[in-house]
Amino acid sequence: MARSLLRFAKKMVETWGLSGVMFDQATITVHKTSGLCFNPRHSHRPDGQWQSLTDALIGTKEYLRGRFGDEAILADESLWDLATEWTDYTSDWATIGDEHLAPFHMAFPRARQSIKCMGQKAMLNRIFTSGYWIELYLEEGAARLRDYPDLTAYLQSLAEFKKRFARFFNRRDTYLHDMYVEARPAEGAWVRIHRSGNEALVLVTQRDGRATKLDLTLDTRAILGTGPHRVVIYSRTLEERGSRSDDSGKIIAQIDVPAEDFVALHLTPAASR
Amino acid sequence: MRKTVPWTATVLGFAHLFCVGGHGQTPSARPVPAPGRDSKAIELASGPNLLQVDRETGRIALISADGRTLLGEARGRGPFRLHLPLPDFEAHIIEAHLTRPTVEASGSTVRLNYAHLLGKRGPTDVGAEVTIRSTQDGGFELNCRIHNDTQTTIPQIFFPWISGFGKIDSDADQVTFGHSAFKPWQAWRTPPDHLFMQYRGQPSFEMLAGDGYKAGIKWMDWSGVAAGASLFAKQREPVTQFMLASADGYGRDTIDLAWYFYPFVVPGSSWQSPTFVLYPHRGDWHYGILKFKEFADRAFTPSPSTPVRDENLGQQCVWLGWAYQDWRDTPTKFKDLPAIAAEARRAGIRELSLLGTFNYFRLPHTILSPLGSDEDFKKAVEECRAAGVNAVPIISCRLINPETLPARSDSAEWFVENIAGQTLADNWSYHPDMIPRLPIRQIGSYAAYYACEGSMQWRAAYFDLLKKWSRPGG
Repeated sequence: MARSLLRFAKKMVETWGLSGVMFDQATITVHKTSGLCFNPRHSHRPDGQWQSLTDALIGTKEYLRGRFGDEAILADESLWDLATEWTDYTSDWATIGDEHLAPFHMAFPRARQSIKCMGQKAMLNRIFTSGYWIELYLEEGAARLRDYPDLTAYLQSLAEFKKRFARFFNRRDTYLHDMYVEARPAEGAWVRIHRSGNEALVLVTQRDGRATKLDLTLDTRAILGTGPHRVVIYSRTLEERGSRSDDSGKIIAQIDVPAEDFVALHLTPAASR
Repeated sequence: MRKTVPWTATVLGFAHLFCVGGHGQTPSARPVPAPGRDSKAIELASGPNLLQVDRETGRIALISADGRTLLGEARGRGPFRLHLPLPDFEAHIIEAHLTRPTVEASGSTVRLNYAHLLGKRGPTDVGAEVTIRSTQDGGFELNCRIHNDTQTTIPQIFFPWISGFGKIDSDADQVTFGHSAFKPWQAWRTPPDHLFMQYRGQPSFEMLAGDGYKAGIKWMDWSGVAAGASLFAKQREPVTQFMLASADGYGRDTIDLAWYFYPFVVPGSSWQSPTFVLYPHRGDWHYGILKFKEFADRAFTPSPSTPVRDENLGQQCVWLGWAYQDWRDTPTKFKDLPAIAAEARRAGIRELSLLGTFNYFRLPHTILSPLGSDEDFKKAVEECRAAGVNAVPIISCRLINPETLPARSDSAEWFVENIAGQTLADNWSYHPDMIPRLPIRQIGSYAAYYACEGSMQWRAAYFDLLKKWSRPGG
């Protein structure tokens, strides 16, 4: 067995030229066994299975980093708190829905979790505006992007947007979810706040992709602290759509969200712009 | 869009509020009349929040968040319970509140000592100490130490157990976990139609902290819109544990929140709980998770990123081969991957996640040959990388078909066993033309057992060799 798995390891890096691996079920199957193992042949305690899994994954990451440095990839299915220390991203079956996974990402704003999407723009926008990686799953993984030129163009615009505002995604300090913002009408409004340093990015879309007009009230004091603030409104394609300034601790803005699209509000201290 | 909360209770505002409380009056434990009782309770203050401990039972008698009562009387169970099986009564549980503790209150701390906890048949040789400390920032830290001087192993301990949280705002009050939520007023309004084990009518809802799809953090929060309380463990270690919500019955007006472990405390040894934080707050669960984040920021270091990953949109998931497909007809082969990668790269995607690359759940791991040769795969991976895209195969490492273990392997040592010594199995086999699509019950090629990472053979064969291999010339 040892020889065969050593062969596998060698194949992984030499025969197949891989710099990373994604372990299916490594992270999530603790719950399949209740995290308890009573096998008397093992030295761990009955509640030690989760620790054993952790040791194994840390060892794997050490191996991969030893070989490939920062380019090494260890990806898993879903996340738990400590796994954020070695998981580069996930491939899992979490759904965006109403974003029930928000508490985890408020606690771990730099964790990279992927959420599958078959290409529907309203869903893409909910995933993207909440800061998750998009796991494109076209026709259940069978389709090619060449057959989806409109989607390709849309994704290109998301990539450009993310490049412009990268610090508010995987490098954010705080994910505030929908705190400190009031949207009218509230029904279907999807507003997500990402803070990095003394700036924040507020992303606004509509849950089901309908075009909508929203009155947004941002509690800028709660989001960034006291002081005058300025907000610049951007379209998905990075066109400026206006700005507001205020030193009262609140900024009110009327936002037109196009169908199947989103709008961004870049919030900064007034003096920094 | 959730309802908004008063903006006076902001992240920054909270910090300010608690500083005022902390500097203005140093919280100290003090006796106060317990509601409806002759005895006294001990009160701790933390910022604007209060917690009272009932002297007679050690149960928490009051929790309030800035004047809003969340728990109003000592009732039910608490502050811990444990399982001490007896030879002729294996389900024997010790309920801490049935033993009167010795209470010490000093400064910001209350200590409850239990020399000989009472079981159903009288005093036992199990001792315990519970401490509750005001952290002066709105929170309270709870610790428990159990010492087992009996001749019996204690397999399970519940700590903390806090009974009597009332309704906060509406039937939409919820217990929130890392990836999910549970609404007890709605779920437990009436008994379910099925009657099995319902004769005592004690509903409960458990959540494994390590469940990456539903929790993933050792934190839960009981909140409405305007107030609530978070309970979390300040613990990095991945120790198996469950969070619990329960009630005395269906249609009741209070719930209990608890936590439990399976430490198997052997005779003569002790168990120390992790430090728990009880954090009452104004506002919904968001305010509780931000308190947990303060701990998470200190305790965990996120996996470092790279500039490419920071700007990457994500990955494209590609199914190369369904498990039982017609292998004479594989529409996507390894040679197609570079073109797929180039299309992904144009769209801003820098990773391909490859499903169906390897012979899932079977050893040794080999690529599925109808998709191409090893050389084809390597060439494809390299060309993807040249296009700026990592092609990363998804590999199963925990589920292993026992028939594929190497010869002379001690097969019993590889796998997880439950308390009855049974292996645990799954059959993750699927095909879009089959009904059901998953699992396909009539084919066993992918049926597998869960390997345990504590298996020396599994570890030696897999990860330890990976580690050795990382050394030059290894």
